[in-house]
Amino acid sequence: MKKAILLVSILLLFGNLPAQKIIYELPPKVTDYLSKYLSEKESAVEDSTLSIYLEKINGLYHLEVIEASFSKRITETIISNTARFVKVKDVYLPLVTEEDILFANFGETPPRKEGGPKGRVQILLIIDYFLIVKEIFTNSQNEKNSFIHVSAAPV
Amino acid sequence: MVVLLVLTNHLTAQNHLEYAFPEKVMNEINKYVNKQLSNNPKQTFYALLRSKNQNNEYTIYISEYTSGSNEKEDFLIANTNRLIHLDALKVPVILSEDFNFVAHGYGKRGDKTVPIRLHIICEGFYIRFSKTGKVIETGW
Repeated sequence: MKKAILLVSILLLFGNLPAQKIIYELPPKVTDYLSKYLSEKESAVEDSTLSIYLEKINGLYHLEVIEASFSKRITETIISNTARFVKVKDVYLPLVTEEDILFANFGETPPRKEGGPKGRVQILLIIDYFLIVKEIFTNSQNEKNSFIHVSAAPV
Repeated sequence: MVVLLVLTNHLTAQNHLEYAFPEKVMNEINKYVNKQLSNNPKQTFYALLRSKNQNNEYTIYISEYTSGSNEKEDFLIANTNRLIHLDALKVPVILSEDFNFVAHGYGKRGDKTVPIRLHIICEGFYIRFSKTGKVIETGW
């Protein structure tokens, strides 16, 4: 009986291993830019404080490297649970998408008036505040079609 | 028995990223899923969320799903960690970016090694909606 319980336990454990990572591989030129940038941010990479924010605007992808510590809500709700990571050479940065910011459940707000419906906590992302590097690109693997722009980097 | 209880607690403690779409969108999804479940109570589903179009509108597709039909799609659905809580069940949400950027192995194009991508096939019931929650269109 004990052996049977142990076997069932092992099967349950292996049948429900924590989710695997979903790895994003961006076009080579974008990865090269990111790699060059990250090589100058060794301590931040080692401390795992960087994440990548991705948004599609008018058919082009906008990418920002962000400090993971800038928002506790985003860190706890999205970054801790993202399951998606962007591969930059040997580094894997957690991914936050525009859809995550817009649709993630950050909790409820009290009703505006007694008996009214509860509201949703929504996060307004102001990119410029924590912008480090910005790249704009298509998802094409063809480098000729992959337009990249690197902007100034405050923070 | 203790081992089993510990395992159960551990597994139920795993966190997910829960999406909450605007109320009218959730109502449409619930209406569709409940109808499908009334025909087949064991039916499972997944949702595909397309990033916004040039009019800043989002589209979510609800597809009926049977695990084992497509290994690569199974991988995304099993590991997405994003879900919506419906009236009757939880539905995993995958993103259109998954199809553009996840490499499912590598192949050769000329001398170059290139990642193998999945082609996005949007099928099933869909809802197109604005950021403010206005339902623009529903259909198949």
